Amino acid sequence: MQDSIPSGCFFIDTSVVLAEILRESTPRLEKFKKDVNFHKVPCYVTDSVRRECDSKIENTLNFLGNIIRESVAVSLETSRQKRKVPMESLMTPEDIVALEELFSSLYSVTKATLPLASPIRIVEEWAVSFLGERLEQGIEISVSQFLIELVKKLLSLTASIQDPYDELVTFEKSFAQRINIVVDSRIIDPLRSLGVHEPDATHIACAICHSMASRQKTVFVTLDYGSILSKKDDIKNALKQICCDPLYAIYYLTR
Amino acid sequence: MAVTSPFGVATDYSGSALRFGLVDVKPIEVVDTIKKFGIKFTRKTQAFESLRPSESFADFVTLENEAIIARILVPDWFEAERVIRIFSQRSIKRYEEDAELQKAIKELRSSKAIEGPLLRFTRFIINRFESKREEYVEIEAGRFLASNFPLSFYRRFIVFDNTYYDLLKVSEQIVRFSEFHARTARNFQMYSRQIETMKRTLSPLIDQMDICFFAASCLKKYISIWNAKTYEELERGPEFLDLKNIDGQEFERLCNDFEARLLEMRELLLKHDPRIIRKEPRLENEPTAKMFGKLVMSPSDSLNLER
Repeated sequence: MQDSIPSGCFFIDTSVVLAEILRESTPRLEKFKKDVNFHKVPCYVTDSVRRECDSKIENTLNFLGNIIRESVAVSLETSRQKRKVPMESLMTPEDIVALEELFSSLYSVTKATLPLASPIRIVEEWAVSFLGERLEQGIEISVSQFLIELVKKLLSLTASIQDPYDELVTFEKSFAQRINIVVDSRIIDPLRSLGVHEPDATHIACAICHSMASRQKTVFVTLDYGSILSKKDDIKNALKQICCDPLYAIYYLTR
Repeated sequence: MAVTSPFGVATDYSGSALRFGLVDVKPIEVVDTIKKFGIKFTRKTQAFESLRPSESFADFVTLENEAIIARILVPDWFEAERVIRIFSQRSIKRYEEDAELQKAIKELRSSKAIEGPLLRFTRFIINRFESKREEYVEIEAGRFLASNFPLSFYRRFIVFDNTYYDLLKVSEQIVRFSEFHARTARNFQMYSRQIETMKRTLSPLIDQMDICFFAASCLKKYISIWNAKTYEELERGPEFLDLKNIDGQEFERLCNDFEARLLEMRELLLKHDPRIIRKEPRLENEPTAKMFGKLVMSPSDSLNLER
């Protein structure tokens, strides 16, 4: 294959930042980072992406916290009251059955298009597996300990991702730099009409504005198949903006 | 250094423990005469003496609490003076009961320099913090469950604890380097100079940590005060923290201030050691990381139970 020097830059999406700090999609991102470093391609994080990352982490954490405190705690208490079991007693398989009822009722109030991928299902698997493992191992655990353990895990995890987040976004010590782009709202509307919702439309519009202002080839790199990559041909045809997976990003700059 | 506090202040006056042990000390030369094989020898060793009188911890916490109360709104059912007294007495009592820390400071002051007392003291603080780290997370988790605040509010205090741990590790490097060079100094003047250099390097870090700790204390004490109805309740800490009891604007101001100070602290640490942000995240609890990863990647509107 003929090799040529890549020219242009990358704008990375929220999905790429989150995958990087949570060490998800590692082989794809490792290759992307290697390409960026090797070819010294500028890689940017916009303010809109940074804001979305912050709010996604916060909302996910609060969603989980609320389920534990408002739903799991209350349903275990109600179930024990019905069974006349004191709250201080250690947890048993009966408590797991009580959780099944809770998650079924929670599931029915959420808009789930794909039942297996529903957030409630994901939380259910995590909480029940955690408790099930302890019971199988013969570890004695009370309801309050169970709730505290779940919250502790969430706090430790989300606090520990602050370091990679700061490395990449806040202090720009990794493969990307922050960039401030004034978005032309006239670019956002055609994206919306293609079915690209906010804030994705703004993120892509930032890449388009940068490309127009700098006359530089600008590739929008994302792992979001559902909202962006599934529409990449439409976006390219309507706005001449390339959106691609990190695995292939470098090849769009060498074409 | 307190292990717990009514509002789970994880690292209560920990910055001041470092200051007391590493900055507010002065090297002194101890000259004593020893007799060996019937011959008298003069032995010169180095030790440390405190730059502050021993009762100054009480003054320090009282001053700090006065500054905190001056910075936050106090409800009209409390007198500011009495609130300051309650918070200060609680800290002083905890410090006085902390035999472990008192012993470590006493040992530091009486140790001979050849034994590396400053590094030993720093490691004592690190070991103590490591042994209590899990407990600190548990305190915040318990507080979350006994409140209606969002979980993200408590996360910043764990980030604060992690940042404090980074400060301890950076301090350890500075102290190890400085103490090693001081111990190999040819005379007491060179020894003192090396210790002074160490103090000058550590001071801005500890100052910034104190500023950060002050901002965290303002936030936590503000919430405690507004959720307590009596002095007794304030003394033992409110049972439940209700978001409705506090003023939204004031809360936001204090949160933003804490966040800003924490960021400044992290930035300062980063200048001393870039490795502090290059740690691998604690994803060893795989199922939680995987679950969180899936949720954070899912569309934002799917995380809404109020439909």
